[in-house]
Amino acid sequence: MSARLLLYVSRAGASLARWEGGRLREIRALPADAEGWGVLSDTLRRAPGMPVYVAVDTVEEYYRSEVLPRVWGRDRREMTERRLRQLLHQTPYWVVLPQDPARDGRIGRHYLFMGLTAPELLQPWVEVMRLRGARLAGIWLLPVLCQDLLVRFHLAPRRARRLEVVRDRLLGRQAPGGTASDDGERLLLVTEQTGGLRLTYFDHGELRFSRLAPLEGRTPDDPLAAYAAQIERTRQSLLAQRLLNRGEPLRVCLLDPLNTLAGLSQRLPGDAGWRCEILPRQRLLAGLGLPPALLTESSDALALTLLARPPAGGNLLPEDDRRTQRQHRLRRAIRPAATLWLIAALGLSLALLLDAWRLSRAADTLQARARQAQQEAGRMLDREGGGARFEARWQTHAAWRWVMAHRADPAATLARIAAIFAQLPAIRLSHLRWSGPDTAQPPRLTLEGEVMGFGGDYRLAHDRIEALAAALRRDGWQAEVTRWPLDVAPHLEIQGDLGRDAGDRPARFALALTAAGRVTPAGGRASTSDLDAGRSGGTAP
Amino acid sequence: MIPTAQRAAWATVVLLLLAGAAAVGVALHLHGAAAAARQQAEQAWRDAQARLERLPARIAQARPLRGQLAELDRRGFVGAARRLDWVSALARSQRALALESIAWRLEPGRPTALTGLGATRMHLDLGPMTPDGLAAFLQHLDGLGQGLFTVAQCDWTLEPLPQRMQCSLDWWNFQGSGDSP
Repeated sequence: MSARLLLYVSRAGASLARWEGGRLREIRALPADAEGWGVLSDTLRRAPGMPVYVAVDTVEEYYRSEVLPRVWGRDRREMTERRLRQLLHQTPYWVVLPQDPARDGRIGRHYLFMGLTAPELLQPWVEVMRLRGARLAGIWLLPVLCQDLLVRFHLAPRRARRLEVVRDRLLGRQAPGGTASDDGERLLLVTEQTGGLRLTYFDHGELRFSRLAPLEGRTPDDPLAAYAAQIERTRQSLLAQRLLNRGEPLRVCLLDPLNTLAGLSQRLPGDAGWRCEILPRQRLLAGLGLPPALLTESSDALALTLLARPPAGGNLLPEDDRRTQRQHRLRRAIRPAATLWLIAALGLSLALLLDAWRLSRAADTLQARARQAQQEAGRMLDREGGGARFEARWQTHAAWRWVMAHRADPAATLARIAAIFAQLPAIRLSHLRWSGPDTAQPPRLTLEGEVMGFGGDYRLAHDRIEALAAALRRDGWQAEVTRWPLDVAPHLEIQGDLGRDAGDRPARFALALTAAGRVTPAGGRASTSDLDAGRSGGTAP
Repeated sequence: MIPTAQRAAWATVVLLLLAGAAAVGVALHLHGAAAAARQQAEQAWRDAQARLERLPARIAQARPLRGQLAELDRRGFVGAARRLDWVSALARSQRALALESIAWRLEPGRPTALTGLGATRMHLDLGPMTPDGLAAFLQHLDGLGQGLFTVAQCDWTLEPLPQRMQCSLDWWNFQGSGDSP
């Protein structure tokens, strides 16, 4: 926990202490005049930038516990601020504490509105801080700080008990408030302060009400009688505010740092509805970790110890100061965040650079291996006359294979076609075109001829062409008639004549042939015996 | 007005942020370059390794081809187009086979899809000719060893007599690396 200055302000003056290393140090009593303000100013000058935590203990305070609808977020803020403006319009020091759900069958939640009704009490101290540019961390009313005592000394009901209340509410059961069953859950905490007797009322561990009873009329011979009277008056006040039901027992806890209140418990008998217990000096010292000397030296030491660890809520700091606080916290957080970012970035950069170095080494290794492989290949090629000569030979061979893919023997093909026609005397071949193969397709043939002696019987002529095509197919060709002796397409006009010698006229036809997967070695054209031994072969019918 | 100390604080924060970003940026750049270099080196190694693994088979495959390649070289397949030899070979075949007439025409040389391989088309009108005559002519022309050719197309006209043959030959030449194999 960082070092901080603690200022406890009351009508009688103030107590200033320093909190360092988790311990309270140097408690100084400051009068509420120029001397006290001067001491505070000097202290702030010597501790620049140290946050100041302020506790206020005065009669001029306001507490009002109300049950309001359960809302959250912006709605809650608007609702509570509107109510605060109605209740505490005369002071900038106010705050609302959202508390536990209502127990008496009402739907809603307890809200404790509280404030300091005499801002002039704080004014000079705050002015000194502003002049010194000190950072005011927060202002708390003493009862808010006292809530910490309930936890430290196990004065509040256990959480489980409180959860039972919530469960009862959810199940629609009426809580047994006001009976002896919740004995001890209504607590009046009594402390002796500089300004008088502080009486703070907690309902199930939640602060509901507090008052500071000045003790000007205290009789020196029987001070406890005055205390007992103030406690009774407080009970009456609680009854009047309906914070306590009549006949309901009230647990009273007396904080006794000087071991002087032992006789007070006899004045608060059980048959009068009191359940009294005392937190003696030793227990307080042990519970708060206070040095005995400090507690003896200053009656405000206990409050200052509580102020060193204030609760999250209940801060009376005005909104402007809160905003300044937030900005300050943001400024304080940004630099560590930036430093953290730099460290992370440097770490990431280092990791990346290390990985880059690893990759570079791997690349070097691979390059060396590649060079080795190239050298090995070079040695192998040297034995073959050198890499360039080998490559040239290889390329020449590849080119020769390419050429061989275009080789075929047209003469043999032409002779074979001619032989087929020779078997069909009624068909005469007039023209034949042979196209050589290439890398994409086999050899192709187109042939034209005439059908003779069909006497105008075109059916006969077509049958002969069909017979020719069948003969060619048997020879391994895909044969397609591209021109029939008579084109009988329906969209064409056709004509002819018959009789005399007209019926002996020949009719022209055409066929397209493609080699149908029959692969034969090409002829010996353009090859030598050496080359034939190594060629891939041609595709030719 | 922002106090000087506060300005300095903000400047420090900005400086820290920029320094971190710059460090990461430079490191990322260097890492990217190293990763790319490694990838290139790995690819080069794989290529070299694959080539080395293929090489014995290629050498074994290429050894028996030496004789063929020498023959191709002798024929003039390797190097520039030898038009003079091709035409001369045509004349010799015509005389040797006592062909009645041969009209020839050479197109300009053209490149092929295979780098370094060129082709020159020669159109021939062989006059009166039969398939058997064509076979004898092509065999004789090839036997002269004055080049490497393939037959691209032949038109055989049977009517009117006499039968005629018009053929197109492709003469090939390869100008690879320029080295003789």
